[in-house]
Amino acid sequence: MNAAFKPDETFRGDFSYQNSEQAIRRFPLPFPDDKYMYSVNIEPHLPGPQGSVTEFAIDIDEHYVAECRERALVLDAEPLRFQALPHMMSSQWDCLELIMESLSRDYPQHFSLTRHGNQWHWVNRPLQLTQRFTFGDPATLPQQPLEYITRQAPGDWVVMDQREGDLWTEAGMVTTQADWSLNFDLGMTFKEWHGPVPLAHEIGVFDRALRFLLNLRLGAPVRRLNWTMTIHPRLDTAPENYPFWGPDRAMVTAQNAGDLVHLRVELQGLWRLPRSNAVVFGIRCYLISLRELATIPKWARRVHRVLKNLHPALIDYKGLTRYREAAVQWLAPFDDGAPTSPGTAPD
Amino acid sequence: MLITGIKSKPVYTPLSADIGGRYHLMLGMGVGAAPLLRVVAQMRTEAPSALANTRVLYVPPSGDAAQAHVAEFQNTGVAEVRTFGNAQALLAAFSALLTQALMGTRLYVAGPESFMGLGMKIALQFNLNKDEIRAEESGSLARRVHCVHCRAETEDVRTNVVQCVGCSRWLLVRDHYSRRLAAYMGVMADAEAPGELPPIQEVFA
Repeated sequence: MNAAFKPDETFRGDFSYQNSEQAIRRFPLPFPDDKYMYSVNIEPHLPGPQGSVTEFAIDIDEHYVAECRERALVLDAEPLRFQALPHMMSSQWDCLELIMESLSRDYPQHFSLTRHGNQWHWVNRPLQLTQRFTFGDPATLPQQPLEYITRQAPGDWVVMDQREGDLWTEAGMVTTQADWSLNFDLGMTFKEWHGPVPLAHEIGVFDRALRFLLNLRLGAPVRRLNWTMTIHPRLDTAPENYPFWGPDRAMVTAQNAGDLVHLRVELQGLWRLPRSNAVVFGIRCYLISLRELATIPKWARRVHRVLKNLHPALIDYKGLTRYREAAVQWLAPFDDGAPTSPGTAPD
Repeated sequence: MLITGIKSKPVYTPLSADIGGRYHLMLGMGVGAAPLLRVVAQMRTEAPSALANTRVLYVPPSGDAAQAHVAEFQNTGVAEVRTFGNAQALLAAFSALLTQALMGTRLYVAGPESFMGLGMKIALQFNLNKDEIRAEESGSLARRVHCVHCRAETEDVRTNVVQCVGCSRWLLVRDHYSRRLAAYMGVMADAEAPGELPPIQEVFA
């Protein structure tokens, strides 16, 4: 990446987070069409165009340093946002290896990894961290391996153990989530974990997704996009803290929606892990205000149409009930009824 | 947040004997006796030798019927019937038994929903897998509710909205269930508009 980090931006308090023009243009819009319904929209996680969020396996962008600081703040207050069941240690090392290898290969100006057998030396320049450790020996790291590396990796990370023909959510670092609780969901099967999602079970989405993921191959990761909306650029919308962020939803009006309402997109990546045979699920959150989004005329038209015609069960599940109408009203002047071009790229 | 109709609550199916098991351990509470007695009767027909390897842990209902239920188990010829005054005492004995359980043990659980959830939670801690456990709901559907905000558990919840015993918030009882916590999720019901609660109704009788 060429953009400079913005280490001082915040995701709480004064919410100083903003997207640069470059960050807006590379935003992963999740709507290839003017209407939206669930689908098993999984594709190979292959390198995308230069500068796009999928150019590399793990995307480092202008928000990286600020996001890592936000994660540290969450963990200080709520240590249970990282949890791993005891049998997940081997998969924790697998994740550490995946993340360190990816970042040092794709961003050599920021990260480096030197290995002599089990003696590893990791350097993270943006966060000014350096660590020598013995791969496989947890005592040589300041935290458990998954916690250590995901304090330095953008997005949430959930590790699913594979056994009995199912995937079990048994480790994770979850501080940038769209309203789900790791502490509550830890130990669940794939379908139990996704139990609250409406409509998708009935159309077979989770049957197919589970079957697909059970067969995920090493070296052939996949990805998909998911989305919801959030008031303020608030990364951490955990149900634990819903009493504190829930009231924001009642503040939205057709006048302030452009600045308050954010489209929240998850770039979800799934990798098979080599030693443990577990699957790691990376959930990277991108936030964009409606005002920023509307600088791309095609996107303003499309998001207006998607929100206006959204299925009632999705409005409810995504928590949009109180403010969808205001968001639609704010976007309406940008929609002249003209057709939108296929795909998600800006015109 | 105010959503209903989620389908993640555990599905319990009617009990039947698994005569492939070598040892049979039964946990029952209250009217949960009936499905367990049905299993014992099935054993007597299909595999009488299993009765000698069957143990029953049971919390009888209070009142006159208690002794009659216990006697019914004793008359079936199972190896052992132990009775307990409450679920907690039974579950403690169950935990102790599991530390010495042998390969080939089959677990049968029948009773009110929250009793079953707590029994399954202990079984999970001992890594019993799904094939080794059979459970049938019988009796009250009252729920244990885990407050996602303060992590306190409120017992014996019969209403759609309940006040948390830990943080006093009014919680909406969701259909999202954790086997690890043996509880349903409770989420603040009026966060978006303080004081605006849905009508409180008894829904888990």
